[in-house]
Amino acid sequence: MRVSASMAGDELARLRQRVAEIEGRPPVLPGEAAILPFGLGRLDRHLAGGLRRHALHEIRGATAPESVAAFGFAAAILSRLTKSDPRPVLLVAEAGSFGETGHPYAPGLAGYGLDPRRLILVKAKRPADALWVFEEAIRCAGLLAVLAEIRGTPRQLDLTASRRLALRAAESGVMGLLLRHGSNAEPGAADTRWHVVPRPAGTLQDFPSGIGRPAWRLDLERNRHGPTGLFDLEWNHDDRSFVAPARPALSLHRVPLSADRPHPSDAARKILAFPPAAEDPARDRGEGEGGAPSRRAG
Amino acid sequence: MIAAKVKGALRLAALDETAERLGLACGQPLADARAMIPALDAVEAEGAADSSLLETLAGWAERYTPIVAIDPDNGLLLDITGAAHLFGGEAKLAEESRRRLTAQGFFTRAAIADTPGAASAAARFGSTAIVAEGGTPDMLKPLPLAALRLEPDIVAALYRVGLKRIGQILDTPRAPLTARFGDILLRRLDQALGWEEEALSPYRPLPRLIAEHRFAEPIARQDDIAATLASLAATLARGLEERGEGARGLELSLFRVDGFVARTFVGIGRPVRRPSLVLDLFREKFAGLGEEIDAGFGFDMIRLAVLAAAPFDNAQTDLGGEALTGADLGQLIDRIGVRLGAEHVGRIEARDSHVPERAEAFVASGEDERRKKLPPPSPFPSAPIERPLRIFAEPEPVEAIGEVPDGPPLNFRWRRVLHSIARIEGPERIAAEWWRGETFTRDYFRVEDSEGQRFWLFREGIYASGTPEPRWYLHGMFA
Repeated sequence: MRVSASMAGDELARLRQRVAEIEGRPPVLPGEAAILPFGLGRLDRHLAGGLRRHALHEIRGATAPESVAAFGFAAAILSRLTKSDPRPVLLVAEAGSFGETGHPYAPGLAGYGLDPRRLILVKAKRPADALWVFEEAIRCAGLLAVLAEIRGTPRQLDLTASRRLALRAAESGVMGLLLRHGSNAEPGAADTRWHVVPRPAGTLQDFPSGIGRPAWRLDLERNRHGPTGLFDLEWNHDDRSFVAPARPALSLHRVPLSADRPHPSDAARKILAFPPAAEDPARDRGEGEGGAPSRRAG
Repeated sequence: MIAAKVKGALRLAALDETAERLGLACGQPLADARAMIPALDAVEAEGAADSSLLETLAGWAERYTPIVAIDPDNGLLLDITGAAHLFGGEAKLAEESRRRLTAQGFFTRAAIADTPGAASAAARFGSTAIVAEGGTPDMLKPLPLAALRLEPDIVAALYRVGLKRIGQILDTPRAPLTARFGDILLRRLDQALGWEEEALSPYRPLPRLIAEHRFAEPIARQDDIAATLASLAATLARGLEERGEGARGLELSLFRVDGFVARTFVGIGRPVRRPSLVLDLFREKFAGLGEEIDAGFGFDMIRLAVLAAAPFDNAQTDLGGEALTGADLGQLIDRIGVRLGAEHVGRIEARDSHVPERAEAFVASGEDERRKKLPPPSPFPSAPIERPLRIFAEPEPVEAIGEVPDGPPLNFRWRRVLHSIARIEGPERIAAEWWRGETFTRDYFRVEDSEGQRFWLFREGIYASGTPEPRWYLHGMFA
């Protein structure tokens, strides 16, 4: 069917919705619902609202502890995704990477705020198999998201493959998270790319001597919707939200690696201050959940 | 010349034609045979190899009928009811199968009869290759009693009382025979005569449905095989539809010209019927195998069999197909399972154990899910996370320096990198589950190094005299 160019945007969206209904797929999410906000004002503004759900996002770590931190960041995103959607999440990993970084641990995931029963785990022997599973799964609208763990830079994961994955995610509305262990920044078709580095955790009010929440420094290396930058983040496993740390990081801005970004470099030069500690994280959280009453995890 | 150990003595088990001509016989002790012919070349029998060869042959014989049974120790029984006309009649079938086996280097005898017992007797002891319908008693009468598949000592006992031929016991009153030799004798006789029903027990499970294709010229190209597979799947789909079933297990058998049979099994979580889906599953399977089947000089027959089926939910049938596959999670898991092996797809479940490595299990998707509730939420909701996000299947040994006897570590070296510990929580003592007969004691520490990386370390063992030196391990990592 050819759609005339003059057709109004909302009518097109309505038709897409109708087609999706006929095909038995979950409807294409319009506007707001297609974005998963972090619930942190500055970060969401950088990303023009949050993470696109029908897109491919790349998260990388250079060393084993970084990779685990990257997995933690991905798990936090999945935890927030699964809050309001009953569909399962598929996790595919090269089994070889388990020797390097360990395997996902069910009690750990449960304590972290991601119900392990929502995960389908696929262990692939070869990177080619893992990517094949990733591509097949990301087309399956019965899934909420797909997380693929790939070691290094396999030959099969070139720019074409990356574009294909991004296209599949856009078609199905399944969020694709590509977790890369021990890889460098490389060109790809991902909507965003993050480099995750663990940073010292703060302390919890009730446990002053203990180790606080998971804390990372996120380097947003690629962002199709705004400038790149460094962000310090903590994960509150209890109510499954991101919070700004008590001691904020330096807000650095760098010129993005890729030249084809929609935002020219003048935006990147602007200095953006990160919210000081005094800014109540609860307010950010409220934004993130769209005003829904916060729920205790368990 | 093959010798085998029977009752403590080496006896001749099989002979070639030359040995037979020299007057040797099966069952003769090897020493006697050596006395007769000193230059005897005897090889010890390999029972296991023989029976596996026989099984391979049984697989080959499936080209004639799916019901193939093994007739120990050296025969095959084929149920060719309704199959003979496909080969141009019984005589042609027998001739063709013998010709092919001879080409493979086997010495064969074949017979076709009304019952398995009669066929076995005729092939081994008779002279008629094809026993006419109803001609079984006449064929059996002159044969020795050993033809009835009896134990040698029963045959010997019958021989002693002068009963040598089957014809003799046919005319003898039955009751004394049973009293003297047990009911096996008459049962075998009745089975051979068809008075008692005897079902063949096929050496492999019988398929529910089969579709097959034979080629005058062997085929070897992948496209040809795929096209054949598609047409076979379409045939099966019609059969399944009539039964209201879908296939849950499919087997593709490729019969190579030289007698080799390559079989590929695909197990499916949800019943399928659509040929394109079947084709896809096999394509994934072959892609996942990573190795190609050696086509040799080509395949001259391809068979697709449904080994397992389940009622097919008609609501699933396609509305044009493509749209449905996109959203169907079950199909996705099947496809992945077929390509990577079903044991590699599953869920991780929390289990009721306080030993960390036993507190979870990977449950493959095929297995029954033992759904278990998660442990209750911590009574301190804002407490730190207690368990790491990732864990090593084998705790990795680290060199750690800590206070003796039971202090926390100060720094540790893991994978050649020294981590100095900035903060620490612990110890959490986890002891062995004594009911499993284990004895270890572990003190777990959650630590954060100076760079903010968080690890789960434990010390195994305690400082006490007479026990091995405690050792440090890294068991997992926190995000």
